[in-house]
Amino acid sequence: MRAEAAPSFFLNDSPYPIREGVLEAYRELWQRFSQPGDSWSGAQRLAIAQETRDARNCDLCIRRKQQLSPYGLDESHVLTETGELIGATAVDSIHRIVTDPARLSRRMVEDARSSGLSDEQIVEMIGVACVTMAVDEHYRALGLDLEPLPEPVPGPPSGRRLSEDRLEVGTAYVPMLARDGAVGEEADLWSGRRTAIHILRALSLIPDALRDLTILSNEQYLTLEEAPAFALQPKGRAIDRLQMELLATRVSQVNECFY
Amino acid sequence: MAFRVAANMNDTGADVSLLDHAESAPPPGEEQEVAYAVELASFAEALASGDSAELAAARADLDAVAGRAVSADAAAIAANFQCMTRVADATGIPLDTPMMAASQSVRDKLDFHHYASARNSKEIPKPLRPVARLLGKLIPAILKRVRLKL
Repeated sequence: MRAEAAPSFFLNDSPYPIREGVLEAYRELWQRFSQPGDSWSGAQRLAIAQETRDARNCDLCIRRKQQLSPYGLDESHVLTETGELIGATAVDSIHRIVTDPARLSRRMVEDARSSGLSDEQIVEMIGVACVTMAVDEHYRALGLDLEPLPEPVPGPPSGRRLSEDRLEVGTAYVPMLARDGAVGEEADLWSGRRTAIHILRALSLIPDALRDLTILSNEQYLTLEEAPAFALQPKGRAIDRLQMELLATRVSQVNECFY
Repeated sequence: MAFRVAANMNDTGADVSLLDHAESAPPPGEEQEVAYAVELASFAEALASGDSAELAAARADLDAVAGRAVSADAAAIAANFQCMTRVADATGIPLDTPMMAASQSVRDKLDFHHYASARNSKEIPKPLRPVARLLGKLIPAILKRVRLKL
């Protein structure tokens, strides 16, 4: 069953010519987020998306960022109605991801585990939050109003889990599908390649979270086939590859991302 | 490293120092290694820093010199890396070993070692760093094969 929602991402009166492929990807992502995932319901996934938005104006996060340590303030977020759907630790993690990326650490994941969240819930939460942020940041960058979030599709999460023997544990804070693990139902994940770099595997504990990221990046940035071809100028773009990498690197520098 | 490889592959003399000092790029109207480098860098920085006033000013500057189609695509790239940096640092992935080796000189030059997320990656041992630097020089040649395949 699918919820009927108002059409979104049409931007008929936008002064900026956002490519149709980008808008189509955003529509698809909104539809996917509204559905139950593997470890969160549709309503919970949209609560994650809402918290991603709310974090930008969070007073506690602003004060926390001014502290020498990201854990220097002994205060908790006041939960909203949507926050109650996912719990205090998930809300806290999402806010840290949005507002203080340079100081993310293993502790965030360990705190989430200690509060009872599974690794699958943690990875799916990171995926929904980061992809929502990417869509919103595109609009914010252009001074456009954010698109309303869709209505959730009722139903429980699927509970689907990858078997432990397919996972690589210890390389990152969270388990990832092994390098040669893109087989069977996951054969599409590395786009037909035998192995994948870590950024591609980061969300692979939840294959659909990686698929969300791929849908997004294929349009906002480049496809997996285009990315290593540095000499090719991507078709249909107003900027060239060198300009793209300048933007990418500058954002990464401000966020102090070593990767 | 991606920036340096792209510069090399596209036969420009653009240097990674441009990433730290975009203001040193030639002004509009003069020949530029990266077109609108100053405005693009300011736009990306304003988005990532979260300052709305700074962002509005940077967007207006980019619109004025490059046009709104450039701003629309630039916004998409910057937004994508707002996401990718957070995926990388929230999950704690290390830099892949070949990239770690190939980007040694860039990381030295731009001083990325002090970033908190650097702790997720193992540094190349000092005795192997000359080999890593050599690998960094070979990467563009290797990637040219990718161009031929497509």
